Amino acid sequence: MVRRDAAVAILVVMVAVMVVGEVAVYYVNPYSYGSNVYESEGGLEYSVESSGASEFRVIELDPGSVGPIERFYVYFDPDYGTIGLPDAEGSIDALVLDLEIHGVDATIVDAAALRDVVENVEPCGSCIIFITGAMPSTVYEGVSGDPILNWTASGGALYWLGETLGKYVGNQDGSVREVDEWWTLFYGEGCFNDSDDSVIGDVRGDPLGESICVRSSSVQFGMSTSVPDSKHIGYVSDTGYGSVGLAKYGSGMLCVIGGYFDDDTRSDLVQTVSSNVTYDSAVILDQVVNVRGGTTTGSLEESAGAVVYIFCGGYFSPYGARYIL
Amino acid sequence: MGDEVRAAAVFGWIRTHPLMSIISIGLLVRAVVAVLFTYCYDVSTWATVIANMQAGAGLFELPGYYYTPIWGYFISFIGMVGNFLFGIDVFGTQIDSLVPIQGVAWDYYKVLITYNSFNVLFKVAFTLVDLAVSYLLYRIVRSLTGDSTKAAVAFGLWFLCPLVVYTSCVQAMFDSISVLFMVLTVYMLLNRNYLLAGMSFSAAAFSKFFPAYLIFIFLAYVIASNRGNRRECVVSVASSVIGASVMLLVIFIPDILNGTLEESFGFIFNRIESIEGESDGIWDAISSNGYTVVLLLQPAVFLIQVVLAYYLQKSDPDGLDRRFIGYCLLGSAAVFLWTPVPSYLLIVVPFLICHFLVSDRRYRYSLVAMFAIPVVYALVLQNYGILFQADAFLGFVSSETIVGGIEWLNQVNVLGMTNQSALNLVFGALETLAIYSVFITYISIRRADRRSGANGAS
Repeated sequence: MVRRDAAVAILVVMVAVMVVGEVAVYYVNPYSYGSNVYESEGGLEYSVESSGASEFRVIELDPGSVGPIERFYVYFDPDYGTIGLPDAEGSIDALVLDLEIHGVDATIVDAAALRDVVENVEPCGSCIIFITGAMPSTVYEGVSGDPILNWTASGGALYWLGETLGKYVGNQDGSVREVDEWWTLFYGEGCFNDSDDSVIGDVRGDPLGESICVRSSSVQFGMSTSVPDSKHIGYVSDTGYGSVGLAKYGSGMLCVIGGYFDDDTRSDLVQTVSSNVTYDSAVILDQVVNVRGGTTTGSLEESAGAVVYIFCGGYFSPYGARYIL
Repeated sequence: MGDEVRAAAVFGWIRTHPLMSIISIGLLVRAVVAVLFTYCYDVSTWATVIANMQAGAGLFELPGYYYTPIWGYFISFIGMVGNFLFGIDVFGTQIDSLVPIQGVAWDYYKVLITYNSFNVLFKVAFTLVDLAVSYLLYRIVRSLTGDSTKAAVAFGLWFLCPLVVYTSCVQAMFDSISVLFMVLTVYMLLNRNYLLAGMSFSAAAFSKFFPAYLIFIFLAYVIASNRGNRRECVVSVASSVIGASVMLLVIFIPDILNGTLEESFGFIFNRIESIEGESDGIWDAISSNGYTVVLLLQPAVFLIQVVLAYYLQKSDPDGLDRRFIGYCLLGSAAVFLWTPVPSYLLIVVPFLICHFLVSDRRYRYSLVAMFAIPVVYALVLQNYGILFQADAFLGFVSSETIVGGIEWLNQVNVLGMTNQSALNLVFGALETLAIYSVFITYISIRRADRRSGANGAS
């Protein structure tokens, strides 16, 4: 009836394209990234490499009073109550993988192990990440002197994403209990955005946020800009809440990412943790480097205790690495 | 000398061939539209998917990809071309001046938008796919009518169809890939190439699921075209099944091995889950109830497919091929007894074009309706969202205009719903009418034919 060759050729081309793409996804990943920080004759240098075209961002930060963070814990216990996180297990997996992609090897701890961490792990240089909306009763009962609060105030860093920080306690039976006047344990009434009003911040805060590609504008559950010793690297609303807020808490730090867990807030959490930005960190160096298949080098400033965060792809980032000087 | 003459002949053929002017106009329209307008919601997701692949996280290890794997494989290929051939290293950026629109109820906007270079990569790929579909329609219509002019019209109707241009070059959505595989299935069936028909069918059905409904009609056609030869019929069906199975394995082997088969069907499960979700506003309620309606209509959709298949396999061998196209038209339209996203309707358009040109010009009103209304509905749904890139990189629309427009759409009117919801309802209803016009035309033709038959008899 009709010539078959052209149609068969179309089918063959389509299947070939599909199979090449499939092989690249599952069997031979053509993309590879790498970076390094090292001493050379000219001083401290970095190198970045990519198998293809990549735009790297090299940020050297003085992490301020909190210092560089070296130990990372992510809390998740399927038996304990959570709130505002429908697919808790999947979300935790995605977060931990995303952190790993961006140079952070985090350990998942359940409620009992979390208790061990706050009792036995040195707070300085450590952080605990929560996305469960509630802290387990093993470390938090909603009263002054709770282990997690003491641990943070002693120099630890607590990263929070989800329902209002401190408002909920996760019980062992899977339920969640609300804490009365939870704000008294933090910075006073209104310190975190507990209302549904004005959930969007539309003005960029500290420019460091744009450098690390912070993107979520949700200030729901976010930290108030009036919290003392705080920095807001995300978006800030006209009602005075930030989408990514970092604040001094005793000798430690609280970081609150506004909104519920989704792709945007996860990315903001990962970039904030990986870059080691803190409430009083200062930018030492911020460079953009383009690589077209190969390696490129550059110079860093020598600064003991500084953290170098190198990532590529901007808002769509497939790679990150961090180095403590 | 000989080469010059040959070259002159080739150029002469290109200049005078009717398809060349259609292709030129189509490419020109696409070039303008593709650069000026982009609905960044979907294409921004493709950027996330590529970044996940670059990170070595495959298609499903990180959130972002919710379709069956085929489209992911194409994204992977396009991403490699973009990176290694054209040096595209950063896919997009956040537009701060548009951030205020993130609080609106109709939240199908993304202010994390992709750069033009990235978008054009996808739009060029879809344009090539559109060309391939046009060419196949050309061959099908020419083979069924023997008329090159009609075939050229078929080519032009697809390549210049506003919905096709919009889906490929504004929305950068991949429905045309599913359509290409579906048209390949029809082409291979018409050519009795059942192995490749089966392969094409698998690829079509697992790109977007809608062509899968046509399996009954396809099977009926295979049986009808081999009537009287049981052995040949069995071999034909078996060849199709083998082809389909081979393609199925090629597509899903990694998911089977990795245990991510469930994720690869997230496209369906996510929508079913959303039926049970809490409604946050009137449009959410409509959408949620809409998904319930879609589910409730499924028995009717399947019943129509089965009935059509029954009558097709019973029909006279004379004119079977033409009738097959007509039944495919009815079957594909019957998939959408509900109101779909406009791009889904692309699977109906090739059959409408073919049936209109091959068998019955009385479908002209349906053709016009299906060409015009879905694209208007798409504009209603995506509205100012197609101008974000124009604001950010081209500067011919201001952020204030976009934000102001979206805020107006978000206002609650006297009916107690947002202007956006009201517009969605009106134009969604019109789109449904456009789809139903296929059935209305079919019924009115049947009645008219019966009347004229009765008059003739009297």
